[in-house]
Amino acid sequence: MATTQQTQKTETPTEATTETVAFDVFRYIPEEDDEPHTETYEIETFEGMTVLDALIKIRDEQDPSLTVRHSCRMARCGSDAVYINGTQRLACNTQVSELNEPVQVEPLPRFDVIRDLVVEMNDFYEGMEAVEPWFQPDHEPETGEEYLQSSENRKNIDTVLDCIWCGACTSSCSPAGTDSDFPGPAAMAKAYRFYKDEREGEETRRRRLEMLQDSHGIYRCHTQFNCTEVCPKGISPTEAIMEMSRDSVKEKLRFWR
Amino acid sequence: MSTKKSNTASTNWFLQRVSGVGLVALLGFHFAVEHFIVGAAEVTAGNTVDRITHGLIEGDHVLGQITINLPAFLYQAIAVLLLGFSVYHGMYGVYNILMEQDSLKEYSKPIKYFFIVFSVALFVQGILIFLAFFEPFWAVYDPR
Repeated sequence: MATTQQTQKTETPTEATTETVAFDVFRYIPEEDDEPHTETYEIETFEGMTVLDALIKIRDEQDPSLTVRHSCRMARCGSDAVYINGTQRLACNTQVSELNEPVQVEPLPRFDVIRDLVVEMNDFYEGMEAVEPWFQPDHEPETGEEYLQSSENRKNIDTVLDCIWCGACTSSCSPAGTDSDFPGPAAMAKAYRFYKDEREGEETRRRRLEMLQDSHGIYRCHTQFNCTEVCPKGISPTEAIMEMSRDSVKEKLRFWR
Repeated sequence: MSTKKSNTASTNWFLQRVSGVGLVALLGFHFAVEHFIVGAAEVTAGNTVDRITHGLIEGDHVLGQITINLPAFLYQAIAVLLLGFSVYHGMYGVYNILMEQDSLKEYSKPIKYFFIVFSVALFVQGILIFLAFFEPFWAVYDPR
């Protein structure tokens, strides 16, 4: 009985909260369109409606050709990052009621558009892979032992562990937009996650830092904090990059070692 | 990304930070002296020579009739540091902006050498102007 009541509540919006909102949606189907254009859709909203809900409603009720990438609908998979009213955001995590009209929805800037709101993410994934985002311990533990990590060390990397690979940060990053050799803020945050992990050992830590201190690595950051502002998980890649930059300089200053 | 040990990126980045902080401090001093103590209308070659060569600020300026006599070395050091910091910070900044452009990467070496030569030339030019405040350079020119 309780389940039925909940279903009715979510599926049948009250009249008081229903209003019509205009959406300007970026459209581009390479096989059909000579160039991208914007189409306006007007839909009835309900309380708690997200931009992803709205896009799905447009697709279901008005234009089945509209293409948007999505999966979990709960800000965990990172697949529906789009450019909403001039900011990179997760469509499933953005309330329509908080936005100015008309709501402008575009694909993530600085990524190639495959179709409508779907962008090519291969460069982003290559950047992530470039920082070797896997555990590389200096030594194997002796038989029966585990790779132990202190709770303090775990807390240090807690901040960057929540990355969902949505690409919002990389899309907002100025140097990532012009320098294809710069892996981007998400990759740098991922590098920081392993760089700070005490279980890898000093040798690996130094090797990681040497790899990152390339002129197209950590030093490419402009410290603009764009990535930090748009991250839907509250991660600050800028702070992670700055910490690694400071560590890199300190290593250089210890020339007697 | 490379793993070259001879990488100079960290040194350059550090110097960019140091020169940035240095510029804030030195420009603050420059503005205080030229705009709030002496006043822009009173910036003359004679006053500048007095300050650079004798450490002397004297006369009817923004703050009224004043005489400030600090070690000349202070003004000389600030002038040279301001020149060095601004040349390094400006040139390295512009160089980095250019190197971020994918379309210019194939010309990275010529651009790098151009900026090195241009920066050295700017610095030398600045030093020559600075030296002109002292005798015997100064002896041939007296604006007062």
